[in-house]
Amino acid sequence: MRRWIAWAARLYPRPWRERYGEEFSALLKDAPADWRQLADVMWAGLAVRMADGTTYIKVAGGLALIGAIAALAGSYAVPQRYVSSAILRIAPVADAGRNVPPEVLQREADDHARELRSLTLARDTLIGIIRKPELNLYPAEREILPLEDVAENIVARDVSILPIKLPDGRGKAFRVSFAYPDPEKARAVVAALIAEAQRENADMNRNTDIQWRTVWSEPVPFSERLDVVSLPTLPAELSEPRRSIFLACGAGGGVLLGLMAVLLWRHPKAGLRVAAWGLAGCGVAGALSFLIAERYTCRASMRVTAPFTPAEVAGEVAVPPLSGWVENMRMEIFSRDYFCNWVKSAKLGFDEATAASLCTQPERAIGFRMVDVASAIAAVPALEITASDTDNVRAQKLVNELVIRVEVRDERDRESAYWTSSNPQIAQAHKHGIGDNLEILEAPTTPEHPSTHYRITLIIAGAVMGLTLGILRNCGRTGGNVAPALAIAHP
Amino acid sequence: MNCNIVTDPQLLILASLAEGEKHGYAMMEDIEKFGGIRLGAGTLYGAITRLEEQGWICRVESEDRRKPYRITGLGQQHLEEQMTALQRVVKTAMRRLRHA
Repeated sequence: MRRWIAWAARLYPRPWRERYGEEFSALLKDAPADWRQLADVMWAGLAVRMADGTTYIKVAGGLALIGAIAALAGSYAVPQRYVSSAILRIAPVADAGRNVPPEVLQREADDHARELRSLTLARDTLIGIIRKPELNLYPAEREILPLEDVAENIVARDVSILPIKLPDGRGKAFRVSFAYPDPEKARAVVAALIAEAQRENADMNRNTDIQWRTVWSEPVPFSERLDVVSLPTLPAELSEPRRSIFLACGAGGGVLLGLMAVLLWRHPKAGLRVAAWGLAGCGVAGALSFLIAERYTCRASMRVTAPFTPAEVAGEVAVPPLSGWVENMRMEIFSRDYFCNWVKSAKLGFDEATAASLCTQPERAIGFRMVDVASAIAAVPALEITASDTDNVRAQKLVNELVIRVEVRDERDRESAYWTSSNPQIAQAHKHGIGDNLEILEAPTTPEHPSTHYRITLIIAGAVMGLTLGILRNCGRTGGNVAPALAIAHP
Repeated sequence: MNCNIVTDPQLLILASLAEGEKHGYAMMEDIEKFGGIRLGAGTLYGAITRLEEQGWICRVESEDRRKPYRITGLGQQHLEEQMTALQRVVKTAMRRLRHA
Protein backbone atom coordinates (compact mmCIF):
# COMPACT_ATOMS: atom_id res chain seq x y z
CA MET A 1 0.00 0.00 0.00
CA ARG A 2 2.86 2.39 0.81
CA ARG A 3 4.15 1.94 -2.73
CA TRP A 4 0.74 2.90 -4.12
CA ILE A 5 0.58 5.94 -1.87
CA ALA A 6 4.11 6.96 -2.92
CA TRP A 7 3.00 6.62 -6.57
CA ALA A 8 -0.13 8.75 -5.87
CA ALA A 9 2.12 11.44 -4.38
CA ARG A 10 3.58 11.88 -7.86
CA LEU A 11 0.22 13.30 -8.96
CA TYR A 12 1.24 16.59 -7.33
CA PRO A 13 2.67 19.14 -9.76
CA ARG A 14 6.47 19.41 -9.95
CA PRO A 15 6.77 22.89 -8.32
CA TRP A 16 4.74 21.62 -5.36
CA ARG A 17 6.90 18.48 -5.08
CA GLU A 18 10.05 20.59 -5.17
CA ARG A 19 8.72 22.68 -2.28
CA TYR A 20 7.07 20.03 -0.08
CA GLY A 21 8.13 16.70 -1.61
CA GLU A 22 10.78 15.70 0.97
CA GLU A 23 8.73 16.46 4.08
CA PHE A 24 5.59 14.96 2.49
CA SER A 25 7.46 11.67 1.85
CA ALA A 26 8.65 11.69 5.46
CA LEU A 27 5.05 12.17 6.64
CA LEU A 28 3.82 9.34 4.42
CA LYS A 29 6.42 7.05 5.99
CA ASP A 30 5.21 7.92 9.50
CA ALA A 31 1.45 8.03 8.81
CA PRO A 32 -0.63 4.82 8.61
CA ALA A 33 -0.92 3.40 5.10
CA ASP A 34 -4.45 2.35 4.16
CA TRP A 35 -7.04 2.88 1.40
CA ARG A 36 -8.29 6.06 3.05
CA GLN A 37 -4.80 7.51 2.98
CA LEU A 38 -4.37 6.55 -0.69
CA ALA A 39 -7.69 8.20 -1.67
CA ASP A 40 -6.85 11.29 0.38
CA VAL A 41 -3.44 11.73 -1.27
CA MET A 42 -4.86 11.20 -4.76
CA TRP A 43 -7.74 13.65 -4.22
CA ALA A 44 -5.49 16.30 -2.68
CA GLY A 45 -2.93 15.88 -5.50
CA LEU A 46 -5.65 16.40 -8.06
CA ALA A 47 -6.93 19.47 -6.16
CA VAL A 48 -3.45 21.05 -6.15
CA ARG A 49 -3.13 20.38 -9.86
CA MET A 50 -6.52 21.96 -10.55
CA ALA A 51 -5.50 25.08 -8.64
CA ASP A 52 -2.47 25.52 -10.89
CA GLY A 53 -2.53 28.51 -13.27
CA THR A 54 -1.97 26.36 -16.33
CA THR A 55 -4.62 23.80 -15.33
CA TYR A 56 -7.03 24.87 -18.08
CA ILE A 57 -4.47 24.19 -20.77
CA LYS A 58 -3.22 20.97 -19.22
CA VAL A 59 -6.61 19.41 -18.47
CA ALA A 60 -8.09 20.52 -21.80
CA GLY A 61 -5.01 19.23 -23.63
CA GLY A 62 -5.02 15.93 -21.73
CA LEU A 63 -8.72 15.33 -22.30
CA ALA A 64 -8.36 16.36 -25.96
CA LEU A 65 -5.68 13.67 -26.35
CA ILE A 66 -7.81 11.08 -24.55
CA GLY A 67 -10.85 12.11 -26.61
CA ALA A 68 -8.91 11.87 -29.87
CA ILE A 69 -7.58 8.40 -28.99
CA ALA A 70 -11.04 7.20 -27.90
CA ALA A 71 -12.63 8.58 -31.08
CA LEU A 72 -9.97 6.96 -33.24
CA ALA A 73 -10.55 3.64 -31.48
CA GLY A 74 -14.32 4.14 -31.91
CA SER A 75 -13.88 4.79 -35.62
CA TYR A 76 -12.73 1.19 -36.02
CA ALA A 77 -16.16 0.05 -34.80
CA VAL A 78 -17.78 1.90 -37.74
CA PRO A 79 -18.09 -0.31 -40.84
CA GLN A 80 -15.34 0.47 -43.34
CA ARG A 81 -16.60 1.29 -46.80
CA TYR A 82 -15.19 2.06 -50.20
CA VAL A 83 -17.06 4.34 -52.59
CA SER A 84 -17.02 3.74 -56.32
CA SER A 85 -18.55 6.33 -58.60
CA ALA A 86 -19.20 7.07 -62.23
CA ILE A 87 -20.51 10.11 -64.09
CA LEU A 88 -23.46 9.96 -66.49
CA ARG A 89 -24.90 12.62 -68.72
CA ILE A 90 -28.38 12.94 -70.18
CA ALA A 91 -28.50 15.17 -73.21
CA PRO A 92 -31.56 15.77 -75.38
CA VAL A 93 -30.97 15.23 -79.07
CA ALA A 94 -33.41 16.98 -81.41
CA ASP A 95 -34.18 15.43 -84.79
CA ALA A 96 -32.44 17.12 -87.67
CA GLY A 97 -34.68 19.64 -89.32
CA ARG A 98 -36.96 20.11 -86.28
CA ASN A 99 -36.42 23.25 -84.37
CA VAL A 100 -37.31 22.42 -80.74
CA PRO A 101 -37.22 25.39 -78.30
CA PRO A 102 -34.45 24.99 -75.67
CA GLU A 103 -36.92 25.43 -72.77
CA VAL A 104 -38.98 22.52 -74.08
CA LEU A 105 -35.83 20.38 -74.34
CA GLN A 106 -34.82 21.42 -70.83
CA ARG A 107 -38.20 20.58 -69.36
CA GLU A 108 -38.22 17.21 -71.07
CA ALA A 109 -34.64 16.45 -69.94
CA ASP A 110 -35.51 17.27 -66.30
CA ASP A 111 -38.56 15.03 -66.39
CA HIS A 112 -36.65 12.28 -68.14
CA ALA A 113 -33.80 12.41 -65.60
CA ARG A 114 -36.19 12.22 -62.66
CA GLU A 115 -38.06 9.28 -64.16
CA LEU A 116 -34.81 7.53 -65.07
CA ARG A 117 -33.52 7.84 -61.51
CA SER A 118 -36.63 6.31 -59.99
CA LEU A 119 -36.56 3.46 -62.53
CA THR A 120 -32.84 2.78 -61.97
CA LEU A 121 -33.28 2.70 -58.20
CA ALA A 122 -36.52 0.73 -58.34
CA ARG A 123 -36.77 -1.92 -55.66
CA ASP A 124 -36.88 -4.83 -58.13
CA THR A 125 -33.77 -3.56 -59.92
CA LEU A 126 -31.82 -3.35 -56.68
CA ILE A 127 -33.04 -6.75 -55.50
CA GLY A 128 -31.81 -8.19 -58.81
CA ILE A 129 -28.36 -6.64 -58.25
CA ILE A 130 -28.21 -7.80 -54.60
CA ARG A 131 -29.01 -11.37 -55.60
CA LYS A 132 -26.49 -11.64 -58.42
CA PRO A 133 -24.46 -14.76 -57.50
CA GLU A 134 -21.15 -13.11 -58.41
CA LEU A 135 -21.94 -10.17 -56.08
CA ASN A 136 -23.94 -11.78 -53.24
CA LEU A 137 -24.30 -8.43 -51.45
CA TYR A 138 -25.23 -7.88 -47.78
CA PRO A 139 -25.23 -11.55 -46.72
CA ALA A 140 -25.54 -10.74 -43.00
CA GLU A 141 -28.32 -8.19 -43.50
CA ARG A 142 -30.25 -10.57 -45.74
CA GLU A 143 -30.33 -13.16 -42.97
CA ILE A 144 -32.35 -10.90 -40.71
CA LEU A 145 -34.25 -8.64 -43.12
CA PRO A 146 -36.50 -9.26 -46.12
CA LEU A 147 -34.90 -8.34 -49.45
CA GLU A 148 -37.34 -5.45 -49.89
CA ASP A 149 -36.06 -3.83 -46.69
CA VAL A 150 -32.43 -4.41 -47.69
CA ALA A 151 -33.15 -2.64 -51.00
CA GLU A 152 -34.74 0.29 -49.16
CA ASN A 153 -31.72 0.53 -46.88
CA ILE A 154 -29.44 0.68 -49.93
CA VAL A 155 -31.31 3.67 -51.34
CA ALA A 156 -31.28 5.45 -47.98
CA ARG A 157 -27.70 4.66 -47.05
CA ASP A 158 -25.37 3.34 -49.73
CA VAL A 159 -26.33 4.57 -53.16
CA SER A 160 -26.47 8.15 -54.32
CA ILE A 161 -27.27 9.81 -57.63
CA LEU A 162 -26.45 13.47 -57.38
CA PRO A 163 -26.43 16.20 -60.03
CA ILE A 164 -23.06 17.73 -60.90
CA LYS A 165 -21.89 20.39 -63.31
CA LEU A 166 -19.48 19.36 -66.05
CA PRO A 167 -16.94 21.87 -67.40
CA ASP A 168 -18.54 21.89 -70.87
CA GLY A 169 -21.98 22.51 -69.31
CA ARG A 170 -23.76 20.26 -71.82
CA GLY A 171 -26.80 18.25 -70.76
CA LYS A 172 -27.62 17.13 -67.24
CA ALA A 173 -24.79 15.29 -65.56
CA PHE A 174 -24.95 13.31 -62.39
CA ARG A 175 -22.65 11.16 -60.30
CA VAL A 176 -23.71 7.63 -59.44
CA SER A 177 -21.96 6.37 -56.29
CA PHE A 178 -22.14 3.23 -54.25
CA ALA A 179 -20.47 2.51 -50.91
CA TYR A 180 -19.60 -1.05 -49.85
CA PRO A 181 -16.93 -2.75 -47.70
CA ASP A 182 -15.50 -4.52 -50.81
CA PRO A 183 -14.08 -2.07 -53.40
CA GLU A 184 -14.45 -4.54 -56.31
CA LYS A 185 -18.10 -5.14 -55.49
CA ALA A 186 -18.69 -1.40 -55.08
CA ARG A 187 -17.44 -0.88 -58.62
CA ALA A 188 -19.44 -3.83 -59.96
CA VAL A 189 -22.66 -2.40 -58.47
CA VAL A 190 -22.07 1.01 -60.08
CA ALA A 191 -21.47 -0.74 -63.41
CA ALA A 192 -24.72 -2.70 -62.96
CA LEU A 193 -26.63 0.51 -62.14
CA ILE A 194 -25.26 2.20 -65.26
CA ALA A 195 -26.25 -0.78 -67.41
CA GLU A 196 -29.75 -0.62 -65.90
CA ALA A 197 -29.98 3.15 -66.52
CA GLN A 198 -28.99 2.67 -70.16
CA ARG A 199 -31.56 -0.08 -70.64
CA GLU A 200 -34.29 2.02 -69.02
CA ASN A 201 -33.28 5.05 -71.09
CA ALA A 202 -33.62 3.07 -74.32
CA ASP A 203 -37.04 1.78 -73.19
CA MET A 204 -38.23 5.28 -72.27
CA ASN A 205 -37.16 6.70 -75.65
CA ARG A 206 -38.89 3.85 -77.44
CA ASN A 207 -42.12 4.24 -75.44
CA THR A 208 -42.22 8.02 -76.00
CA ASP A 209 -41.79 7.45 -79.71
CA ILE A 210 -44.61 4.89 -79.75
CA GLN A 211 -46.84 7.32 -77.85
CA TRP A 212 -46.13 10.20 -80.22
CA ARG A 213 -46.79 8.04 -83.25
CA THR A 214 -50.11 6.91 -81.73
CA VAL A 215 -51.32 10.33 -80.63
CA TRP A 216 -49.81 12.69 -83.16
CA SER A 217 -49.11 10.28 -86.03
CA GLU A 218 -45.53 11.46 -86.24
CA PRO A 219 -42.20 10.37 -84.74
CA VAL A 220 -41.07 12.01 -81.53
CA PRO A 221 -38.94 15.05 -82.46
CA PHE A 222 -36.18 14.36 -79.95
CA SER A 223 -34.72 11.65 -77.77
CA GLU A 224 -32.56 11.57 -74.65
CA ARG A 225 -29.03 10.32 -75.01
CA LEU A 226 -27.39 8.78 -71.96
CA ASP A 227 -23.59 8.93 -72.04
CA VAL A 228 -21.12 7.50 -69.57
CA VAL A 229 -18.73 10.40 -68.98
CA SER A 230 -16.48 8.49 -66.61
CA LEU A 231 -16.44 4.76 -65.94
CA PRO A 232 -16.94 3.34 -62.43
CA THR A 233 -13.78 3.82 -60.38
CA LEU A 234 -12.05 1.14 -58.33
CA PRO A 235 -11.57 2.88 -54.98
CA ALA A 236 -8.08 2.43 -53.56
CA GLU A 237 -8.65 4.23 -50.25
CA LEU A 238 -11.30 3.88 -47.60
CA SER A 239 -14.02 6.50 -47.87
CA GLU A 240 -15.65 5.77 -44.53
CA PRO A 241 -15.09 6.22 -41.72
CA ARG A 242 -13.27 9.53 -42.13
CA ARG A 243 -10.78 9.11 -39.34
CA SER A 244 -9.67 12.75 -39.48
CA ILE A 245 -13.25 13.83 -38.63
CA PHE A 246 -13.40 11.31 -35.78
CA LEU A 247 -10.07 12.62 -34.45
CA ALA A 248 -11.16 16.24 -34.69
CA CYS A 249 -14.51 15.56 -32.97
CA GLY A 250 -12.84 13.57 -30.18
CA ALA A 251 -10.20 16.23 -29.57
CA GLY A 252 -12.75 19.07 -29.71
CA GLY A 253 -15.08 17.29 -27.31
CA GLY A 254 -12.15 16.63 -24.96
CA VAL A 255 -11.14 20.31 -24.93
CA LEU A 256 -14.69 21.43 -24.10
CA LEU A 257 -15.08 18.79 -21.42
CA GLY A 258 -11.73 19.75 -19.90
CA LEU A 259 -12.57 23.46 -19.76
CA MET A 260 -15.97 22.77 -18.21
CA ALA A 261 -14.50 20.37 -15.67
CA VAL A 262 -11.91 22.92 -14.49
CA LEU A 263 -14.54 25.67 -14.33
CA LEU A 264 -16.84 23.57 -12.17
CA TRP A 265 -13.96 22.37 -10.03
CA ARG A 266 -12.63 25.83 -9.29
CA HIS A 267 -15.88 27.69 -8.82
CA PRO A 268 -18.53 25.12 -8.00
CA LYS A 269 -20.70 27.56 -6.05
CA ALA A 270 -20.71 30.23 -8.75
CA GLY A 271 -21.25 27.55 -11.42
CA LEU A 272 -24.16 26.02 -9.50
CA ARG A 273 -25.72 29.43 -8.85
CA VAL A 274 -25.61 30.31 -12.56
CA ALA A 275 -26.96 26.84 -13.46
CA ALA A 276 -29.80 27.30 -10.95
CA TRP A 277 -30.77 30.61 -12.58
CA GLY A 278 -30.68 28.89 -15.98
CA LEU A 279 -32.95 26.10 -14.70
CA ALA A 280 -35.32 28.61 -13.17
CA GLY A 281 -35.49 30.43 -16.53
CA CYS A 282 -36.27 27.09 -18.23
CA GLY A 283 -39.03 26.38 -15.74
CA VAL A 284 -40.72 29.77 -16.03
CA ALA A 285 -40.52 29.74 -19.86
CA GLY A 286 -41.77 26.14 -19.95
CA ALA A 287 -44.77 27.08 -17.80
CA LEU A 288 -45.49 30.14 -19.97
CA SER A 289 -45.23 28.08 -23.16
CA PHE A 290 -48.28 26.06 -22.13
CA LEU A 291 -50.35 29.22 -22.45
CA ILE A 292 -49.56 29.39 -26.19
CA ALA A 293 -51.28 26.84 -28.41
CA GLU A 294 -48.94 24.96 -30.73
CA ARG A 295 -49.90 24.63 -34.36
CA TYR A 296 -49.59 21.64 -36.66
CA THR A 297 -48.96 22.02 -40.36
CA CYS A 298 -50.10 19.43 -42.87
CA ARG A 299 -48.63 19.54 -46.35
CA ALA A 300 -49.33 17.97 -49.72
CA SER A 301 -47.65 18.58 -53.04
CA MET A 302 -48.87 17.83 -56.53
CA ARG A 303 -46.70 17.82 -59.60
CA VAL A 304 -48.16 20.03 -62.29
CA THR A 305 -47.39 19.69 -65.98
CA ALA A 306 -49.14 21.14 -68.95
CA PRO A 307 -50.07 18.93 -71.93
CA PHE A 308 -47.12 18.50 -74.25
CA THR A 309 -48.03 19.02 -77.90
CA PRO A 310 -46.22 19.10 -81.25
CA ALA A 311 -47.19 22.76 -81.55
CA GLU A 312 -45.18 23.53 -78.43
CA VAL A 313 -42.28 21.43 -79.66
CA ALA A 314 -42.32 23.35 -82.90
CA GLY A 315 -42.37 26.60 -80.97
CA GLU A 316 -45.73 27.57 -82.50
CA VAL A 317 -47.50 27.70 -79.17
CA ALA A 318 -45.83 28.94 -76.02
CA VAL A 319 -45.80 26.57 -73.09
CA PRO A 320 -48.59 27.93 -70.86
CA PRO A 321 -47.26 29.33 -67.60
CA LEU A 322 -48.20 27.12 -64.69
CA SER A 323 -48.62 30.11 -62.40
CA GLY A 324 -51.75 31.04 -64.37
CA TRP A 325 -53.18 27.60 -63.86
CA VAL A 326 -52.56 27.82 -60.11
CA GLU A 327 -54.14 31.26 -59.89
CA ASN A 328 -57.28 30.05 -61.68
CA MET A 329 -57.45 27.04 -59.41
CA ARG A 330 -57.09 29.20 -56.31
CA MET A 331 -59.94 31.45 -57.46
CA GLU A 332 -62.15 28.43 -58.04
CA ILE A 333 -61.37 26.74 -54.73
CA PHE A 334 -61.55 29.78 -52.49
CA SER A 335 -64.66 31.26 -54.11
CA ARG A 336 -66.49 32.63 -51.14
CA ASP A 337 -69.68 30.55 -51.06
CA TYR A 338 -68.20 27.14 -51.50
CA PHE A 339 -65.23 27.66 -49.19
CA CYS A 340 -67.22 29.36 -46.44
CA ASN A 341 -69.89 26.67 -46.44
CA TRP A 342 -67.21 24.08 -46.17
CA VAL A 343 -65.22 25.61 -43.28
CA LYS A 344 -68.46 26.29 -41.41
CA SER A 345 -69.63 22.68 -41.81
CA ALA A 346 -69.85 20.66 -38.61
CA LYS A 347 -67.37 18.00 -39.73
CA LEU A 348 -64.43 20.39 -39.42
CA GLY A 349 -65.52 21.51 -35.96
CA PHE A 350 -64.30 25.12 -36.18
CA ASP A 351 -65.89 27.57 -33.80
CA GLU A 352 -67.88 30.37 -35.39
CA ALA A 353 -65.24 33.09 -35.03
CA THR A 354 -62.43 30.93 -36.47
CA ALA A 355 -64.62 29.83 -39.40
CA ALA A 356 -65.57 33.46 -40.14
CA SER A 357 -61.91 34.50 -40.00
CA LEU A 358 -60.95 31.68 -42.38
CA CYS A 359 -63.74 32.69 -44.76
CA THR A 360 -62.44 36.20 -45.15
CA GLN A 361 -58.72 35.46 -44.91
CA PRO A 362 -58.03 31.86 -45.87
CA GLU A 363 -54.33 32.64 -46.37
CA ARG A 364 -53.98 32.97 -42.57
CA ALA A 365 -54.17 29.20 -42.23
CA ILE A 366 -54.00 27.80 -45.75
CA GLY A 367 -51.14 27.96 -48.22
CA PHE A 368 -51.78 27.38 -51.95
CA ARG A 369 -48.79 28.10 -54.12
CA MET A 370 -46.35 26.88 -56.77
CA VAL A 371 -43.05 25.61 -55.44
CA ASP A 372 -40.08 23.76 -56.86
CA VAL A 373 -39.98 20.42 -55.10
CA ALA A 374 -36.34 19.42 -55.06
CA SER A 375 -35.63 15.89 -56.12
CA ALA A 376 -32.23 14.26 -56.41
CA ILE A 377 -31.97 15.07 -60.09
CA ALA A 378 -34.11 18.07 -60.91
CA ALA A 379 -36.44 20.54 -59.26
CA VAL A 380 -40.03 19.70 -60.16
CA PRO A 381 -42.65 22.46 -60.33
CA ALA A 382 -45.43 21.51 -57.97
CA LEU A 383 -48.54 22.89 -56.33
CA GLU A 384 -48.06 22.91 -52.58
CA ILE A 385 -51.10 22.98 -50.31
CA THR A 386 -50.57 23.53 -46.60
CA ALA A 387 -52.93 23.99 -43.67
CA SER A 388 -51.97 25.05 -40.20
CA ASP A 389 -54.17 24.44 -37.18
CA THR A 390 -54.01 23.74 -33.46
CA ASP A 391 -55.62 20.35 -34.17
CA ASN A 392 -53.41 18.05 -36.24
CA VAL A 393 -56.29 15.92 -37.54
CA ARG A 394 -58.21 19.02 -38.64
CA ALA A 395 -55.11 20.33 -40.43
CA GLN A 396 -54.96 17.06 -42.37
CA LYS A 397 -58.71 17.18 -43.11
CA LEU A 398 -58.29 20.66 -44.57
CA VAL A 399 -55.46 19.65 -46.89
CA ASN A 400 -57.12 16.39 -47.86
CA GLU A 401 -60.31 18.16 -48.85
CA LEU A 402 -58.38 20.78 -50.84
CA VAL A 403 -56.42 18.10 -52.70
CA ILE A 404 -59.67 16.34 -53.63
CA ARG A 405 -61.19 19.65 -54.74
CA VAL A 406 -58.18 20.43 -56.94
CA GLU A 407 -58.29 16.99 -58.52
CA VAL A 408 -62.04 17.17 -59.18
CA ARG A 409 -61.74 20.67 -60.60
CA ASP A 410 -58.81 19.67 -62.80
CA GLU A 411 -60.68 16.65 -64.12
CA ARG A 412 -63.64 18.87 -65.02
CA ASP A 413 -61.35 21.37 -66.74
CA ARG A 414 -59.74 18.68 -68.81
CA GLU A 415 -63.09 17.23 -69.84
CA SER A 416 -64.26 20.69 -70.72
CA ALA A 417 -61.07 21.33 -72.69
CA TYR A 418 -61.62 18.10 -74.62
CA TRP A 419 -65.04 19.24 -75.76
CA THR A 420 -64.45 22.91 -76.15
CA SER A 421 -60.75 23.50 -76.80
CA SER A 422 -60.06 25.52 -79.88
CA ASN A 423 -56.65 23.83 -79.99
CA PRO A 424 -57.26 20.43 -81.60
CA GLN A 425 -53.94 19.14 -80.28
CA ILE A 426 -55.05 19.75 -76.67
CA ALA A 427 -58.27 17.88 -77.34
CA GLN A 428 -56.28 15.09 -78.97
CA ALA A 429 -53.94 14.87 -75.97
CA HIS A 430 -56.86 14.59 -73.56
CA LYS A 431 -58.54 12.01 -75.71
CA HIS A 432 -55.49 9.76 -75.39
CA GLY A 433 -55.16 10.48 -71.69
CA ILE A 434 -51.76 12.10 -71.98
CA GLY A 435 -50.86 15.44 -70.60
CA ASP A 436 -52.49 14.61 -67.29
CA ASN A 437 -51.33 17.55 -65.31
CA LEU A 438 -51.58 16.37 -61.72
CA GLU A 439 -49.60 13.80 -59.86
CA ILE A 440 -49.52 13.65 -56.08
CA LEU A 441 -45.87 13.80 -54.98
CA GLU A 442 -46.55 14.07 -51.27
CA ALA A 443 -49.87 12.92 -49.86
CA PRO A 444 -51.35 14.73 -46.84
CA THR A 445 -50.61 12.84 -43.64
CA THR A 446 -51.55 13.67 -40.06
CA PRO A 447 -48.68 15.76 -38.67
CA GLU A 448 -47.35 14.17 -35.48
CA HIS A 449 -45.25 17.08 -34.29
CA PRO A 450 -46.14 20.76 -34.08
CA SER A 451 -44.63 22.88 -36.83
CA THR A 452 -44.19 25.88 -34.57
CA HIS A 453 -41.83 24.92 -31.80
CA TYR A 454 -42.91 27.71 -29.44
CA ARG A 455 -42.30 25.50 -26.46
CA ILE A 456 -38.71 24.56 -27.28
CA THR A 457 -37.87 28.09 -28.47
CA LEU A 458 -39.33 29.60 -25.32
CA ILE A 459 -37.54 27.14 -23.06
CA ILE A 460 -34.19 27.80 -24.76
CA ALA A 461 -34.79 31.56 -24.55
CA GLY A 462 -35.74 31.16 -20.89
CA ALA A 463 -32.56 29.22 -20.19
CA VAL A 464 -30.42 31.87 -21.90
CA MET A 465 -32.21 34.65 -19.99
CA GLY A 466 -31.81 32.77 -16.73
CA LEU A 467 -28.10 32.16 -17.31
CA THR A 468 -27.56 35.82 -18.22
CA LEU A 469 -29.41 36.97 -15.09
CA GLY A 470 -27.41 34.47 -13.02
CA ILE A 471 -24.13 35.87 -14.37
CA LEU A 472 -25.29 39.46 -13.81
CA ARG A 473 -26.36 38.64 -10.25
CA ASN A 474 -22.97 37.06 -9.62
CA CYS A 475 -21.42 40.28 -10.95
CA GLY A 476 -23.43 42.16 -8.33
CA ARG A 477 -22.19 39.86 -5.57
CA THR A 478 -18.60 40.32 -6.66
CA GLY A 479 -18.86 44.11 -6.87
CA GLY A 480 -18.99 44.29 -10.63
CA ASN A 481 -15.94 42.14 -11.11
CA VAL A 482 -16.86 40.11 -14.15
CA ALA A 483 -14.14 37.45 -13.95
CA PRO A 484 -15.40 35.70 -10.82
CA ALA A 485 -19.00 36.19 -11.97
CA LEU A 486 -18.24 34.23 -15.09
CA ALA A 487 -16.25 31.81 -12.97
CA ILE A 488 -13.09 32.66 -14.90
CA ALA A 489 -10.26 31.02 -13.08
CA HIS A 490 -7.21 32.87 -11.99
CA PRO A 491 -3.87 31.29 -11.11
CA MET B 1 -21.17 10.20 13.46
CA ASN B 2 -18.74 13.13 13.56
CA CYS B 3 -19.64 15.40 16.49
CA ASN B 4 -16.88 17.98 15.96
CA ILE B 5 -18.07 21.49 15.27
CA VAL B 6 -14.68 22.52 13.87
CA THR B 7 -13.75 20.47 10.83
CA ASP B 8 -11.84 23.07 8.81
CA PRO B 9 -8.29 21.63 8.45
CA GLN B 10 -6.76 25.13 8.29
CA LEU B 11 -8.31 26.13 11.62
CA LEU B 12 -7.27 22.84 13.22
CA ILE B 13 -3.66 23.31 12.05
CA LEU B 14 -3.56 26.87 13.37
CA ALA B 15 -4.93 25.64 16.71
CA SER B 16 -2.29 22.93 16.83
CA LEU B 17 0.56 25.34 15.99
CA ALA B 18 -0.67 27.85 18.58
CA GLU B 19 1.00 25.59 21.14
CA GLY B 20 4.37 25.70 19.38
CA GLU B 21 6.12 24.62 16.20
CA LYS B 22 5.38 21.13 14.88
CA HIS B 23 6.10 19.00 11.80
CA GLY B 24 3.37 17.32 9.73
CA TYR B 25 3.08 14.04 11.58
CA ALA B 26 3.11 15.78 14.99
CA MET B 27 0.28 18.05 13.81
CA MET B 28 -1.66 15.01 12.61
CA GLU B 29 -1.31 13.30 16.02
CA ASP B 30 -2.09 16.48 17.96
CA ILE B 31 -5.21 17.26 15.94
CA GLU B 32 -6.47 13.72 16.44
CA LYS B 33 -5.87 14.09 20.18
CA PHE B 34 -7.59 17.46 20.73
CA GLY B 35 -10.01 17.53 17.80
CA GLY B 36 -10.94 13.88 17.40
CA ILE B 37 -10.25 14.08 13.66
CA ARG B 38 -7.60 12.10 11.81
CA LEU B 39 -6.54 14.30 8.87
CA GLY B 40 -5.22 12.48 5.82
CA ALA B 41 -1.71 13.35 4.65
CA GLY B 42 -3.08 14.94 1.45
CA THR B 43 -5.65 17.03 3.31
CA LEU B 44 -3.04 18.13 5.86
CA TYR B 45 -0.52 19.27 3.27
CA GLY B 46 -3.23 20.88 1.11
CA ALA B 47 -4.14 23.03 4.11
CA ILE B 48 -0.47 23.70 4.98
CA THR B 49 0.09 24.91 1.39
CA ARG B 50 -2.87 27.34 1.59
CA LEU B 51 -1.91 28.56 5.09
CA GLU B 52 1.64 29.26 3.96
CA GLU B 53 0.39 31.10 0.84
CA GLN B 54 -1.78 33.30 3.07
CA GLY B 55 1.16 33.97 5.39
CA TRP B 56 -0.57 32.48 8.44
CA ILE B 57 2.16 29.90 9.05
CA CYS B 58 5.80 29.63 8.00
CA ARG B 59 8.34 26.86 7.74
CA VAL B 60 11.17 26.64 10.25
CA GLU B 61 14.52 25.74 8.66
CA SER B 62 15.71 22.34 9.81
CA GLU B 63 18.28 19.71 8.81
CA ASP B 64 15.69 17.01 9.35
CA ARG B 65 13.55 15.77 6.44
CA ARG B 66 10.49 16.51 8.60
CA LYS B 67 10.16 20.29 8.43
CA PRO B 68 8.48 22.00 11.37
CA TYR B 69 6.03 24.91 10.93
CA ARG B 70 5.17 27.76 13.25
CA ILE B 71 2.21 30.15 13.38
CA THR B 72 2.89 33.77 12.33
CA GLY B 73 1.48 36.93 13.86
CA LEU B 74 -1.11 37.15 11.07
CA GLY B 75 -2.03 33.53 11.71
CA GLN B 76 -2.49 34.18 15.41
CA GLN B 77 -4.71 37.16 14.67
CA HIS B 78 -6.83 35.12 12.26
CA LEU B 79 -7.14 32.27 14.76
CA GLU B 80 -8.20 34.67 17.49
CA GLU B 81 -10.88 36.19 15.25
CA GLN B 82 -12.21 32.77 14.36
CA MET B 83 -12.23 31.61 17.98
CA THR B 84 -14.02 34.77 19.14
CA ALA B 85 -16.71 34.20 16.55
CA LEU B 86 -16.97 30.57 17.56
CA GLN B 87 -17.14 31.52 21.21
CA ARG B 88 -20.00 33.88 20.48
CA VAL B 89 -21.91 31.08 18.79
CA VAL B 90 -21.19 28.69 21.68
CA LYS B 91 -22.22 31.23 24.33
CA THR B 92 -25.45 32.08 22.54
CA ALA B 93 -26.31 28.43 22.07
CA MET B 94 -25.60 27.64 25.74
CA ARG B 95 -27.69 30.57 26.94
CA ARG B 96 -30.58 29.56 24.78
CA LEU B 97 -30.31 25.96 25.92
CA ARG B 98 -30.48 27.05 29.58
CA HIS B 99 -33.66 29.04 28.91
CA ALA B 100 -35.26 26.36 26.82
